Amino acid sequence: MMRLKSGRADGVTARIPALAMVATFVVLAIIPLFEQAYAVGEWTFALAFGIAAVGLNMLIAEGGLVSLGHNAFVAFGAYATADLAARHLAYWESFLLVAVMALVLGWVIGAPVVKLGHLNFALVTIGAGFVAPTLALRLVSVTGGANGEALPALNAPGWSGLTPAAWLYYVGLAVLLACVLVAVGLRRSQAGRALRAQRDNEVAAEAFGVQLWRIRCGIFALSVMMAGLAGWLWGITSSFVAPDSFDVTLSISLLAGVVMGGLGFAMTAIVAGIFVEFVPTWSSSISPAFDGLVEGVIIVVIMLVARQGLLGLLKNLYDKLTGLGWRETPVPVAAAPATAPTSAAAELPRPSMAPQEPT
Amino acid sequence: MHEFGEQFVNGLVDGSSYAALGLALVVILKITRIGNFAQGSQALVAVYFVWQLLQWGVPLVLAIIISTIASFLLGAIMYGLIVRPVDRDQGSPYGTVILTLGLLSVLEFGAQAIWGADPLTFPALFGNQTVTFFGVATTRQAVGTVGVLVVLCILLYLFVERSKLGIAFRAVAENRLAAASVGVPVLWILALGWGLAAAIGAICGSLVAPTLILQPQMMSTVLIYAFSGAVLGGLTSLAGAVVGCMLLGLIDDLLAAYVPAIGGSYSLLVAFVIIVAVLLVRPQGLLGHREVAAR
Repeated sequence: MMRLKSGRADGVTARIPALAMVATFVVLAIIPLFEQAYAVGEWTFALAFGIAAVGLNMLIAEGGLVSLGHNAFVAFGAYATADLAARHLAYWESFLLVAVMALVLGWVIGAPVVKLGHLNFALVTIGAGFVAPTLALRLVSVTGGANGEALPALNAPGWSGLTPAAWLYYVGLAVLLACVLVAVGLRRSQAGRALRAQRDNEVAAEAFGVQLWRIRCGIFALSVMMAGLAGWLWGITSSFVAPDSFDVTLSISLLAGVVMGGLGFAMTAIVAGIFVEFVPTWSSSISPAFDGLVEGVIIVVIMLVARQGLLGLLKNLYDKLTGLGWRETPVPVAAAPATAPTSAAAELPRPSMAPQEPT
Repeated sequence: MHEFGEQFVNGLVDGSSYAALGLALVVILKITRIGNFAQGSQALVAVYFVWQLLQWGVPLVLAIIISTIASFLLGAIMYGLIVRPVDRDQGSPYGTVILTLGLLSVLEFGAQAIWGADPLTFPALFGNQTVTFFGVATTRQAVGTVGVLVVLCILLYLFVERSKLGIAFRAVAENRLAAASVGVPVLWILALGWGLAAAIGAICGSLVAPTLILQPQMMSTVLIYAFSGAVLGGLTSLAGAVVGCMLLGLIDDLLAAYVPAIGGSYSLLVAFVIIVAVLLVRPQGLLGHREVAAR
């Protein structure tokens, strides 16, 4: 086991991201204790957007693929949940079913589209994002058309002693935590290294044995699955789904949130979720156009001056203050068997776009 | 037969409005390898500018010319100040995809903040009188739209193939480093390309505005169709963009007219299925070249 750098960096400093993550989840966990039912509902929406953002963040930062169809996949999850509820399935059953269906949907759409290159991928997904609300309007027999569909409320189990809103919030928090852990685990796994290798240098990655099509399909399907689960939570929280909630602007909001938080950081999803839920409410009180304008300006400014996002800025600030970089801590790659062919490819120089962050 | 003729002409007219924007996209793609998702919003702002000039009493033709020149300058400046720093710092394609999506949002909602979300009426440059060719009735505006596209294509062809600047343009598209080493001012050529694309977009927007009704979301559908058409035709070929967009316009209108079950709102979906299918067989598009496949 090779250590790249010894000293204090191995101790407390290396655990800062993990500690920050734990602290954030603790703060998130005590929110329902202080808020009214309505505000708890708003926070649950933020969790739902956060779940979708985990998938999008993973797709862009690890896979190098930009999807603007995530509004369609969130809509898919929400409508599927409503439909399954109408068939008298319990929510835990529909959770599993939505996860599986979204995974399959992602694979089916991804299978041809990931072959087409980055630009065409973005284009086809933005097309899906545009078509989705229209489809939801037209497929009246499944979606209820413009009238939408109602969902029954989720009741808290008696032993918990929680209000329904708080119970749903904790369920959402658990799902978000699970998704974040999956993303962190993926980043540290061999598959994660293979993903970054194909993102940075397609030819080199393929030469090292990375199967481009399979791994891209996989990351896209996983990302769509998380968007579907976000739709599941969104649908139950809103207790009503209608086409106008899933405009392509939702995808742009998610993108803005993820870019603002910082591509590649595990905590980004939480920043993005809060951003997508609360910034529009705040900004549309100024002007209806202000929402999109703010998001656009954030994307452009972040891309121009702080490509690592807010979390990246925080990290750089911390590095400067302590003089100890997290970056110098042993990267999990060192723990992988030296024979793993992808680990070498993963250590190519990386663009500053997606900062390396041992979580 | 007449009805089919009319649908066919409608398809061609829609196709040519997509084709104009498609040309703009391909100009940028060819020389900078960037897919500019903000192209439609740039055109939208140009159209709103024309509308504003009309309110100030400027005649329509002059207003379109002023707006086109302004778009040219703004497009070039936008490339130099915003797009280039992001493109230069990192070779990865998704950075510019995210950036131009951000610009799309800024321009579209910026226009909405200034001019409001309500639809505005926009006069037709060529008038709305009906004209009849071989028994097929259409409007003067429709004929004018196709005519302008043809003129644009001829001018662009002459520029790229026959002018000295066009040679520099092709050299930059082919190999930036080699072009720079023989003295081509690469940065100016790239900015010129972005300006040219913005100007083409402004003309396209001014032509479709009377039919589509001027409002902030006006160009988003046109952009999607233009992009899809350009992909279908091959992102590296100017002729391909025109052919692809025309085909898409025809498919769209004919489906809406004759296959009502999947026409209308589903036609975009059908178009995408066709595009994905074509690209799986010919990844470079119908008329594209393989070796410079867009990233």
